[in-house]
Amino acid sequence: MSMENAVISLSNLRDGQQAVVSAVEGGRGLVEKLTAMGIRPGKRITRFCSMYLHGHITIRVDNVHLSLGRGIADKIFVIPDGLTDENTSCR
Amino acid sequence: MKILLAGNPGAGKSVLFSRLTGSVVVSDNFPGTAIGFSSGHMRVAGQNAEVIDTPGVYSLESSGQAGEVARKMLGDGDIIVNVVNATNLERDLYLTLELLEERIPVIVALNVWDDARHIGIEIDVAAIEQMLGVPVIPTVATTGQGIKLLVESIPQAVMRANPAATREERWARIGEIVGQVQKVTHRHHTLGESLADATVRPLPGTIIALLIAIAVFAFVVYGGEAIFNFVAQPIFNKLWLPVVTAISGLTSGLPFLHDILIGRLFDSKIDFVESWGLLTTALYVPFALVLPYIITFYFALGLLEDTGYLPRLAVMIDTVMHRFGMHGYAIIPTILGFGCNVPAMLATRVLESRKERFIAMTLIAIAVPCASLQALIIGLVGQHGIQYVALIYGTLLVVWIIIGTILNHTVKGFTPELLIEIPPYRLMPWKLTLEKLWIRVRGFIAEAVPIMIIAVPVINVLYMIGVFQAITDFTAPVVSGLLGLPKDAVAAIFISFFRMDAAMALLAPLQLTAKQLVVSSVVLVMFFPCIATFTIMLREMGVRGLLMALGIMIVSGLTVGALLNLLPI
Repeated sequence: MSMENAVISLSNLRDGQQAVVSAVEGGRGLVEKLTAMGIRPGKRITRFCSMYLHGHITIRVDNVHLSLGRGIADKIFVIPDGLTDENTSCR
Repeated sequence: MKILLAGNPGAGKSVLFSRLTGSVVVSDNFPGTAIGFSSGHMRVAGQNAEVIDTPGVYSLESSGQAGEVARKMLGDGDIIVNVVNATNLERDLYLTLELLEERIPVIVALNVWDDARHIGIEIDVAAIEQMLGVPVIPTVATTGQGIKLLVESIPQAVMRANPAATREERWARIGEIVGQVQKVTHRHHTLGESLADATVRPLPGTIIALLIAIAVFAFVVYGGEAIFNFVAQPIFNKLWLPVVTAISGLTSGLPFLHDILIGRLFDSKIDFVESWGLLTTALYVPFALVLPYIITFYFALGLLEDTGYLPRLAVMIDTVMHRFGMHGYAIIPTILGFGCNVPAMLATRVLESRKERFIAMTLIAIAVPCASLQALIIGLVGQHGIQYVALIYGTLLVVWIIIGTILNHTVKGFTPELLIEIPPYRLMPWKLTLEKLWIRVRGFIAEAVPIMIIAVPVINVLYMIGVFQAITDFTAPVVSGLLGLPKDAVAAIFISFFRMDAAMALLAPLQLTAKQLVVSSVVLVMFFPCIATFTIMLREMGVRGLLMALGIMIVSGLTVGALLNLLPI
């Protein structure tokens, strides 16, 4: 299996990489909230940027930017599809 | 007839509400802040209708306060205008499908239509209308486009009462709809978008945040000063002074009335700050000394809110705020506190946990000076040099950091992690920004002026019968010994409980040195909140919480005041 198809957590995705959400773990409240905000299995997301000092991660889902803490990012599992977005980098 | 506006956070309900009713909601481009609701009136087909702006929710099943309010309000509406953000069709349609299952007529306003086209999203309105089975009207609430058609179409709303579907069924249906009606063309980033993105990137974002903070502070201070010098001061000196001088002459035979209306004379002249009469100090302090800064502060805040910068700031500062036991959101109430602590306390409701709310409220009450206090700091202390103003703000920042760190480690409870949607930047119509400013300025006048008008004669009488003398003598050891202030300053600290601006008027005539002004300003900020803040803290944190907060205030206020008194300045 190539690296591209392995399931990793959103925290381990690199800035600029695109991926498809495979699963969301956590309590019912969190899963519901994330689903409503557009993070649910099958959705393509782009990891946009991350804050230094292990701070939050900002992602793009459709036309929305969402910022979430590392603890939440650890519970979102994605499959990178090998694409990167040239508009998205942390510089 | 009752018309409910329902939609996801950030779909533009509040702006649409002002378009429909002509009244302004003090809301901002900040998802999830409108937890309460507002109502207004409009004419539909010749009839008067009530319009209600419900809190934004992603789904009717949403947990939390906003979801509860939205569900409850749905029960007593007659028609729903479902505001859908065209740039987020897929996500927003979930709520639409839920609404279509209810036994109530629905019409869809496909809002933010202009942005959708700019970013390359094309939506086939006829097709989506057919698939949903209710009228769909494209609108741009910020410019007013499509509003007339929307109003005309409200009577055509259709009740579907679709059979209840499961979550999976709804998402599947949304997939079908979006697949058929929406076409997205890929397009490169515009310069504007790259700039917008920069504000959430770590390094440029931090620099931009600092620059904005400096710009806002400079604008509030120098803009306020300009209004004072070129508007307020001339009005009082050229127009009002002759009037009160005439009244002073007329009442000279009635000393008691003269004392109440005009107050004391200095070299047989009126001094607006020190005379301490109803027509002099009671009007001059709120209108001339404080109002200019209220105007500039709320103007700057309105711009930050309406453009959508505040949530970006909340995101940027989240890591820092977590060190003090708060979510990044807590920066919003903190900033509001620089205007008035009362709405700031209310705004802490956007914070989820009790721990966060307690820390945020306590820190605001202790270390965030409201506009009235800042007018004192900038106006009175600033005369001695900007370094003293910097010393005051620096001290407050250090206090905020130290107490925040301690509370984070001692208060029980949890701090939820960041999970925020960052809304796109938007240009609001100027009219709305200015109307919001007017509502806030009017609110200040309605609150401050009556209290000043009551407080000034009451303090006058208390002075005459010697009550202050007694309090002053009693507290002299602390005030003079520990803080190094003249014992008369205690009256100011005492009065600050009722109104911060009244405290300022009491300090002004004392001829304090720069150091004494620094100490008294810091103590005024930290010590007790004003009575309005006090009441709201009691309601929001309960008796035990309030007592704890007050204990922290008294101990830290005295400690910091005494330490500053020891500084060799």
